[in-house]
Amino acid sequence: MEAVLLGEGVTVTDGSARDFTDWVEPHLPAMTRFAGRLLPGPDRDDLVQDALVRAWRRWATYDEGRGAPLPWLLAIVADQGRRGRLRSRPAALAWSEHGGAVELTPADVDLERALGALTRRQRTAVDLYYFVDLDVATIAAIMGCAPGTVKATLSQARARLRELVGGDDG
Amino acid sequence: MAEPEDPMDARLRQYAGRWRDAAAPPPAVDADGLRPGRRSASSWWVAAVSAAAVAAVIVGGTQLVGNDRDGRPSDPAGTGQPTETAKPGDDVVPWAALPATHPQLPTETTPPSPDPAEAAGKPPCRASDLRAATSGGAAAGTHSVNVRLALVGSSPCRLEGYPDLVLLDRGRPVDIPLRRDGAGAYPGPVLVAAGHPGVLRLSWSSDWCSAPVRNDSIRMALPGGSLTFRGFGGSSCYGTPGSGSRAPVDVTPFQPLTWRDAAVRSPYADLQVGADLDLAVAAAAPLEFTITLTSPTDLVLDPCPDYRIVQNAEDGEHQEAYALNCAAVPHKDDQGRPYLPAGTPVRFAMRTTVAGQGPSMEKLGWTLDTADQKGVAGTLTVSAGPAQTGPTTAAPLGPGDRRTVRSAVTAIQAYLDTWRRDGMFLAARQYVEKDAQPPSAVGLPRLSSGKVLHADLSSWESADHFTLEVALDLHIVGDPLAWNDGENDRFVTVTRDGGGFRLAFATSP
Repeated sequence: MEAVLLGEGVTVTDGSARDFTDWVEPHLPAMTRFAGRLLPGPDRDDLVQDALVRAWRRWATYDEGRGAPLPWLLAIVADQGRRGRLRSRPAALAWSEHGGAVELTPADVDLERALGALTRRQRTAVDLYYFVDLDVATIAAIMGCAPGTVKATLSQARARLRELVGGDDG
Repeated sequence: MAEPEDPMDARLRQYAGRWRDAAAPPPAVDADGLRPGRRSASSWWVAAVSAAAVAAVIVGGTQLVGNDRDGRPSDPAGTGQPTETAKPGDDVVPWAALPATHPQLPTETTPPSPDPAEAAGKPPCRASDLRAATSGGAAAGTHSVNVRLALVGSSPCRLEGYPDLVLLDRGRPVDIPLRRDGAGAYPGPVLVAAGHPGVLRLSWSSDWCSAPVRNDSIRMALPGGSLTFRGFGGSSCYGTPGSGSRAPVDVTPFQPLTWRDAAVRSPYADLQVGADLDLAVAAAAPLEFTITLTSPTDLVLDPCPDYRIVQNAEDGEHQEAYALNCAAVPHKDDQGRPYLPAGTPVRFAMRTTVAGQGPSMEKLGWTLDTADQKGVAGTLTVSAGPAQTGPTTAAPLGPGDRRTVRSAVTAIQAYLDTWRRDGMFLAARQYVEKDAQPPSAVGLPRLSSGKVLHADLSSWESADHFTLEVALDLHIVGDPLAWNDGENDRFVTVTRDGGGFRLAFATSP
């Protein structure tokens, strides 16, 4: 087997681990928050872990010209999150595992359940906008659509949530 | 961006703010010991990255060592390994390819806690004995409803097996199948007493695509009546539109709120297993490491246990099982049997072959094959090995041929760019010619970006006809996930056609 070359605009870098660490570190909080929305508890950190390893392996293919690092990294988190969900299912009965140590009020529980009933795109938009706390332009880059589409998706998601939790603002 | 008067916007901001504040910090700044008995995610990552740095340094060296197929280690000293990876010597039990014997080792079993026997004499719980409360949530497309059944009175009662449930919408049963899920469940009847509720979990992946389904409540039949509690709400679709697939609701049996599983202990339960398995290696090279076993008490190796070496390479899990080389352990008891003296580390040489093709990072595990499954794990950083079989080994390509291959890869990238620019569609996992595109875009994914990540030569007939194995990164409009989980390897047969190339895509050679 002989590795021949990479495609246009792609260069092989021997990018040292140190450079990668420095590069990825500013984005870890956002990656962790997004992972926390996709998988609960300790699975969250495994997901971040898997995403980092994958990002490191694919780092040579990251192309600055195509966008900022954060959308690239969060897309990997989303991707790994889906793999994790397909691969593993919780074996133990978890009583109140909601992805964080937050004290859930009954209204929160209703809201979380309603979030789970959104379409995947709506759910992703809400997770990234409210929970990961990203701006619309970054979300648009992650979701591969126009900022206006993100706004529309968020608006549809809120309308659906109002419907699901009964209209009042709890 | 949201209208300020939208109450749902305010509610989401308020809840998300609390959620962010309460979330644990990112793993990379987390302390060790995130999970007892496991290396924390952060330390694992640091280890993996430093191993990677090592790989980058020794690549030149591995090629030299890689040509030496005589079984010498590919990882020379100087890679920062601690003394545990010393070469077999007087103080290391040598490795031997002894077939696994699957010995019967003595074990002792402790019952689960709480002991199901406590519930055995109690009467079955009646509907009037219990109060139901629910909590739930949704993550990654799976909804869950957790039901907590607390005792109302003072007489303890018993729940056993699976609940008798009906899912309702405005009082009428809805057609969602139920599926029993006993994986990892508490094995026995559950005692419900003051402060000791019974619980169960219902989960649903909402994979219903023929029509939306609503489930506002769930009724559980019990002796003497029933309890009704909140259901899943509305469904949404994650499946293939039009498939009509109906995902069942998974139901666990009744469980105690907290419990500990029955434990089986072997004489090896307190054994300490040590090794540094974070190694940098070359693909298909010999792999050697040293395992250190330390027992707190004198431990006779009779019968001699088996062990397993597991590598998780890109193409799956590779497992090998052997018997430990007990006969070569230098310590013998007064009956002449090999044993591990109390508190004395005994080192065992291990040998296998790197399973991965590299470059990649893979998990390497070593486990003693006893009831306690004592073991260690680490990360192999695999660099691409020496050339193996195939035409490229026999005759490396000349500079002209390499240029041809390079142009072919550029042509594949250009094809993807055209495909994206022209708004062509992706149907199934086939590449569709422009004039064979479906007439309507409705419901079909469109390419938002496509990129050649790397290309390997798969077969070579001549510069006019060869096959490349190409890894593609494909993204679809509106989907944050890479197409097909990012795994898009294709075999592209390239045939020279006038001044250009004809490209034929396939999923296998």
